[in-house]
Amino acid sequence: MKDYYIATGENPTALRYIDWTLTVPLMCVEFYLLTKVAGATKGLMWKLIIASVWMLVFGYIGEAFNPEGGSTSHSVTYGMLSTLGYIYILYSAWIGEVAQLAKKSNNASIIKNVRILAWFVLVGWAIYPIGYMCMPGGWLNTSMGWDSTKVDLFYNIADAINKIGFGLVVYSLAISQSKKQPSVS
Amino acid sequence: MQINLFYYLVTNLLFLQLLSLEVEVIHIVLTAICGVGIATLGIAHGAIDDHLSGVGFGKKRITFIIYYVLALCLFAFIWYVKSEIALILFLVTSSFHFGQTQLVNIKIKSRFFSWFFNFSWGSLVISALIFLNKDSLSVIDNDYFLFPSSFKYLTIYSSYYFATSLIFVFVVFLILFWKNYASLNILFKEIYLLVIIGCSFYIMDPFIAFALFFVIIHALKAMTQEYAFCKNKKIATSYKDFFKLFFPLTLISLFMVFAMTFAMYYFDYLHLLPYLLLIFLSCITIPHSFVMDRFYGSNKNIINSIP
Repeated sequence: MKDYYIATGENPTALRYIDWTLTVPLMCVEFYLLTKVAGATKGLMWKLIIASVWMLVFGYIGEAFNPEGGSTSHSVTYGMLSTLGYIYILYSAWIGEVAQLAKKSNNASIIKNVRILAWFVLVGWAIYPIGYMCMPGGWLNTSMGWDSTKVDLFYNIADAINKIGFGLVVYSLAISQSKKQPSVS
Repeated sequence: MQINLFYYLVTNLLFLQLLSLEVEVIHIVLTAICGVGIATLGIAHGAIDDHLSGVGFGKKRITFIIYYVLALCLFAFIWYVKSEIALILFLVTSSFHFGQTQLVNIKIKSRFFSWFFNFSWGSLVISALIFLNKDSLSVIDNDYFLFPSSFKYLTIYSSYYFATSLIFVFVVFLILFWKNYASLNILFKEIYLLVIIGCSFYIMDPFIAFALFFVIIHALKAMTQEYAFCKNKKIATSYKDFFKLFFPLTLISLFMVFAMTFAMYYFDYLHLLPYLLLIFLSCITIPHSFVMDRFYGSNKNIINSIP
């Protein structure tokens, strides 16, 4: 992405979305893996993956096929469609299946870590739409005058928070769980 | 996360995107939806105060309603005689009431601290609404209040009002954490909610933003608590029964609003309608806040059992 930006001076939109198409569904898989002990099914995993792909595909259309100079109606239409996927994941993590499974597990460590991951979805993932709305035609661009160079700034901040933070939570859970289990060797 | 907070987030996300289209019709439709929300859920959450007071269905209920209406009329009289004092009383009472409904699950031993906590939270919400929309709200004070008025002062000094409330809430949150009254998770949720409310007030039209807060965060939460109470006391066993309870007084309130609108239209005072609606809402808020204070005080177990 850095090389692409240096070579062309343009936002690496396609590369970003390729990256997210791999990493975001994987984050959803982490919810499934965490709650598997409480009876999470593969159906839940696929629902979360589909919701995340839905979110990304419409986000990509909104951004990559934005008409020259920007169109608010285009940005809003695909922004809203993308939001539906986000809302589903948010619901699942805080109120729906994932939250219920974590509660059912009766495992303090799982409850705590699912809650932390849910916070990432609520706050960390909410940074991406700020970047999205900075593109030409986006609300922050037209109403607040935030220029499109801020798109990458917000995406980088969000990536740093979500990928590193999310990974650290899963890592800490793995460490705490393996400490509880007797050593194989 | 409680379901009403989830609804609030979703509605804000969708409203924000729709409003960013800057189409007049969408703005009118969303304003109308908010108006309907206030007229239905907003008014309805205070329409079973008689049952919440535990007066039953007999003579006591009639006496309660008479006292309630008298309190309402007395407050309307205060508006007539000294609008500045009425406005301050309304702000103080509604600040406390908003905070109490939101923070009722946080158990605090000291009655004074609990009062201060509730008041600070509500005060922050109201001051944020005024501070973040002072330009559009100053139009109201020019139209309806004579100088020098408390409302004018409120808009002029809204930054101090907001900053003071913010400091109060910050101090209260620190004490809550320090004294182990609330976990870090609960505090984060409250801070997050306040940030979202602030963003909503800043971004959207003040009426729409306030309506979303009032209907979803406040009224919907209060109605959940009221439904739990009615179910526990077997006053209403289903949503249908609950609807039957609040429907009559909601209808009467709505009829009064329509009658008022018609009278304003007939006497050519339609421009005063927003001001009169504010007075009407404040008049029903005052007795409702006192009823809810007693309700929360005597039904802690029921309220705390709500997930």
